[in-house]
Amino acid sequence: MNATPDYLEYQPKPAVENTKHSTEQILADNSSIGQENAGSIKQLINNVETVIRGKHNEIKLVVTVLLAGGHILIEDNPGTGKTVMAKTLAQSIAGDGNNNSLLFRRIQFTPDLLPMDLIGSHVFDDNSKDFLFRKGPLFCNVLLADEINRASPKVQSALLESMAEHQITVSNTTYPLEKLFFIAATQNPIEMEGTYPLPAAQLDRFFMKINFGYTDADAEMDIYRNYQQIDKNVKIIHQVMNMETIFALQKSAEEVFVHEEILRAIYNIVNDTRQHPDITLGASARSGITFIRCLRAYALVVGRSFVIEDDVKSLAHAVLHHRLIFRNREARKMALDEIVNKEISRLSQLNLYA
Amino acid sequence: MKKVGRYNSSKKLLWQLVFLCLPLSVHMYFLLYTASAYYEVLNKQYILQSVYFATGVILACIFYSYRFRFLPAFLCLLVLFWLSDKFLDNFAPGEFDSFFLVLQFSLFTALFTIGWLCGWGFARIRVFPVILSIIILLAGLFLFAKTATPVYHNLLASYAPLLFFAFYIIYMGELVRNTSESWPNAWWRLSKHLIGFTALMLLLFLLIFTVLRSDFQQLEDMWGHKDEGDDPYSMMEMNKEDSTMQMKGKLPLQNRLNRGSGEGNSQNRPLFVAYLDNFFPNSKTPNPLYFVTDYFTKFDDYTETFEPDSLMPYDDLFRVNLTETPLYFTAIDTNVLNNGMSVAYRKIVDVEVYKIAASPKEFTAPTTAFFVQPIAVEKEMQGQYKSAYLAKSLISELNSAYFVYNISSKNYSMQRFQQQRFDVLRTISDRDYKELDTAFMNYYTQMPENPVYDTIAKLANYLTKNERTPIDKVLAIRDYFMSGNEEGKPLFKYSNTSGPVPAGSRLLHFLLNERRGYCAHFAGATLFLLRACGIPARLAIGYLIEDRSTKNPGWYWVYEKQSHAWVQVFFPEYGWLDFDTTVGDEEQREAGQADGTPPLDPRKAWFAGTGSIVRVDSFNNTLDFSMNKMAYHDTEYQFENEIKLELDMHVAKVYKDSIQIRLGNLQPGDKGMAISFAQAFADMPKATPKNLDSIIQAFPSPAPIDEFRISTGQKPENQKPETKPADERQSANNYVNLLIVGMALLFLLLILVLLTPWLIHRYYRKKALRVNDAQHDSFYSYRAAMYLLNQLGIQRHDLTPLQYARKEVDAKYETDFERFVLVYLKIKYANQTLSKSEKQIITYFYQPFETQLKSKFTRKQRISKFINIYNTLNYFTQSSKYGFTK
Repeated sequence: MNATPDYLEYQPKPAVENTKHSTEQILADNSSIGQENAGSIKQLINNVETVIRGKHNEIKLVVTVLLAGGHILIEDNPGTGKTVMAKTLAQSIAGDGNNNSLLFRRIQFTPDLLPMDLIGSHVFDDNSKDFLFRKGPLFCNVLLADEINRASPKVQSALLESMAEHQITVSNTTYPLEKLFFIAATQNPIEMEGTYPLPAAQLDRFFMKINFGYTDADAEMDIYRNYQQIDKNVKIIHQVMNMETIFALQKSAEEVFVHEEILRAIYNIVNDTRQHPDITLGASARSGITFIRCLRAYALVVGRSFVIEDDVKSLAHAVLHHRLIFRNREARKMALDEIVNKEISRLSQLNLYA
Repeated sequence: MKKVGRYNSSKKLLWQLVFLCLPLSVHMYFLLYTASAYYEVLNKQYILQSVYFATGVILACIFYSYRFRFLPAFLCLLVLFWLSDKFLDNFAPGEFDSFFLVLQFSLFTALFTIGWLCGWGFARIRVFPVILSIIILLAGLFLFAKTATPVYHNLLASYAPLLFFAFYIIYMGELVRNTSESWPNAWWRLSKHLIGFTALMLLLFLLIFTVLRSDFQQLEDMWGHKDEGDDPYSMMEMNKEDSTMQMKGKLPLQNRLNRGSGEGNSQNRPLFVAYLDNFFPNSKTPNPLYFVTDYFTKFDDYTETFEPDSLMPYDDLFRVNLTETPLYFTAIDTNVLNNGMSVAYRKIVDVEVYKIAASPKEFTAPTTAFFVQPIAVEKEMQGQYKSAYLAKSLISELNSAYFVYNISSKNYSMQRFQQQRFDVLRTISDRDYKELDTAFMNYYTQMPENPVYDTIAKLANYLTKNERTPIDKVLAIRDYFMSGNEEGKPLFKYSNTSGPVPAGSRLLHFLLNERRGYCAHFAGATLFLLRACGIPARLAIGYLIEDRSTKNPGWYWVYEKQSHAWVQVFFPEYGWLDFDTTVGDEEQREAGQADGTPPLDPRKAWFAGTGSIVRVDSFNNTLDFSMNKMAYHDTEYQFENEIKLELDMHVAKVYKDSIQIRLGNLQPGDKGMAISFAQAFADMPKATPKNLDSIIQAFPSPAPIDEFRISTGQKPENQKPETKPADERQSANNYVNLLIVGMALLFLLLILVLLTPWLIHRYYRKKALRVNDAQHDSFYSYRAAMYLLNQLGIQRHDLTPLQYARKEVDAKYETDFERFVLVYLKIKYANQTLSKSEKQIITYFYQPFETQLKSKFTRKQRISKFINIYNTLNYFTQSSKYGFTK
């Protein structure tokens, strides 16, 4: 039982302390989502942050996708911490009661990779005189698909099919994937020779595409100073959560309240992308649904039981941008922001009850 | 206190002063010079006024070259002006001086303020030269459109400088702006550009005007005055051409520009059109008469002003308020006839007056009017003439405008005409005056007891020492005004400087020293000179009538410039005769306007009755009418018992306030007037009191009616202030009042604009305090906070409220706005009940937030930012920013 938090007592004193309250802290107390929900998510994020510095927002987005039950595409230059991030995330979650962490696999995609390298293959078993199915790396909880655009379309589509169907059919047998199945695919924006860029239809399958980006100067200096410590941390990641908690969180994410006007805003944004003169391919209805799922999960991640316009603004780019085809470079930069800002402006001026 | 920083370097300021402010002031001189010819209020002091303006420009330019805010400084200036005005009002010596001081001060205020605004514009606003040139071009257009006649060299002379200046100021403004102070030869560069620009413009203008010369002349021919065919058919008209129209067509343009009107009015509108049924015995040549509106008979010694007097002996002024006389009813004042006291050469003259711009109330007719009947203006002419009346005047056959005109000695035929009449009047001697009523004589020969008037009397005696008869004395006095000095030049000159009728030392000054004045001066002087000789005289004001019409004899068009003042001299047996001693007032007679076609002859209304409607039968087009008053064959009858009539409305036009309505719209009980021009009534015999009843019995039933007018109860005409010479000061005062009221209104508007942000903020706060539930409280508190932040210049731009609260507000001003916004958003987007602590956040948010925010700004910053209306505009127009075209 907490004493009344000091920010509730009116004091004209400079709110130096108050500024330390982050959004999460304030609403942790107020939200109807249990303290442990917000707390465990926070723990998870913090745990990842011991290894990945200065990437708070990106980690939040990755966790959001995890809780929304989708997959994420990370586009960035080498050496920005994509792999470590995915790996740490997997290690932070207990796979079963036996202190084993989630099953984490990493596949480096190359042009000569074959679908069976991913899915697995039938192997003749001498003992049983029968073909046994040897599961490929796809049968895991967290899969890091590195440089997905280097693989042939054949492999890409196999991967994406499995993401969508959540099962794999080999010959006549259907093998379900793990219940918790999360793919973090990466692609490299430079070195475009010999790559097979993902077609729009396949990009649509990813809930989000994010750019990791470089850290800011302070965070990077911090990394340089403490890289030994960070290296150690990678090896001794604590498990802060188990798979059941993840499922529970996914369930409560679906219960996050979305106001009618937020839904309308989503529709307006999606619809505007179809109408905009500089966008040749607008967002689909599926992307709208994805957007809402992400919004719910994101609200949960930041510790809120309802969605606000800030969430829309924070996620719109990550969720929608990779699904759209723009007419020119200028539009690529501006058009979506323009649409979202217009809608945010509408929302913020809305008077919903007065 | 921080030192106020410079906005422009001193070098740049100097350039602005030399290349922008100075030329603007010179230009203003040109504009004022032109305007002063037309606007009496400027009083031709254009040099002084340009200096006022230049002071404003230069001071403002220097002042605003420092980083002063425009509004506070300008407000201070206004307050200063207001205080000075109050001071002037209270402490200026004497009524007359105070008036001129106040007028001068208002002029100064206006010009200085305009100058101040211009100076500010030069110092601070980049696009100002563009705005200024647009304003100046428009102002010039307005001014020249009114003053100048479209003659090409005239246009060239007046508009080209404006055009030149407009280009100049834009070009030079940018040049000064873009010239860097650090350049070694900046002065030379500026001068070089200036010279080059001037040369180019001059070349361009010359080119334009030489190439388009023929076009301009065509234009001039189209618009300029063409002399009407001069083919006079009588001796009198020939003379008229010689005497009064000699200036026509020869008037130099510059004269036109400089000429103001005698009344200080900016226009020379036609006032009314009159038909005067007064012709010379050959019955072809019209004999015009001056139209009188009022007499100034009484002289107030104390205020030294002339006044109309309702108690004058043998009052012969026909006082009638036309708006109170119903249409077709008549007003007759028989006292006027009795008091006329003239028996010889009497005749009755019919007058028709159709008013254009004259006041509906005003009645004017030749001396001595006794009868009036307002008549309806024909439907087709209603756009042109507002109202009309018939009048009858008892006039002396001796009286005539030709008899009154001051003519040059060369005009022999008119001299002969006048001489014949003077001969008639020579039969009157001084002795005849002694037989008159002493009260009358005393009243009309009264002189104030004052050495000034003794001097005037001495002059009068000197002028008339050789003359025997009164008429010769009158002529001697007239000749004095007409006479020339030793060099043969006219002794007296006409001037436009209008004012009240002078008296006292001012009159003496006019008579002896200045010898320039306008009609009131001459009339006032003549009056005292005559009275000093013992000849009864009075001042008449009204209209100088000039026969200019060649096609419509007997019709006279009267323009504003024809308002006039003159004297009337009393001769026993012959009554009051007009005498005009004003010299050189040709331009007053020659109003410079061609006369139009006269209105149609009005139909004669044989029957007009007022009363109320009893029954309307719109099927059979009849009306049962209960009549209480009737005008029948120009005679009025009043009935004690209302008379029932059945009216035939088949051809009747029904009017309500000059708007035609349908018969069905009439209601029983409506009051109105039925008018008939029908022959049926014309053929009936005239009524006498005896046979009245039988005649009414004999009225056709239903009676044919041509017009039916519904009376609306109130006086329909909105009365315009009449313009009289004595109202001169009044109208100038009105102008000052107008200026002050205008300033006050502007000031109020400014205050309102400045108060708007505060009012909006108050509104949100009050709302937040009044509502009980947390939802509304949070909404209005949020609105109030956002508005306050916006006014303080903390812009939200594209941020969401939460981001804004976190990054822009809390991070910089150490408030806890974010916490509040979160709760607000929760209320907005979640359907969850609030916890107690959240409610407390809402309730206790605003006060400390505002305090904290205020503590971060200095008072000066706070106020200047808060009253900035642009922030408010920005706040309420933000949403339009994101629109994109589909």
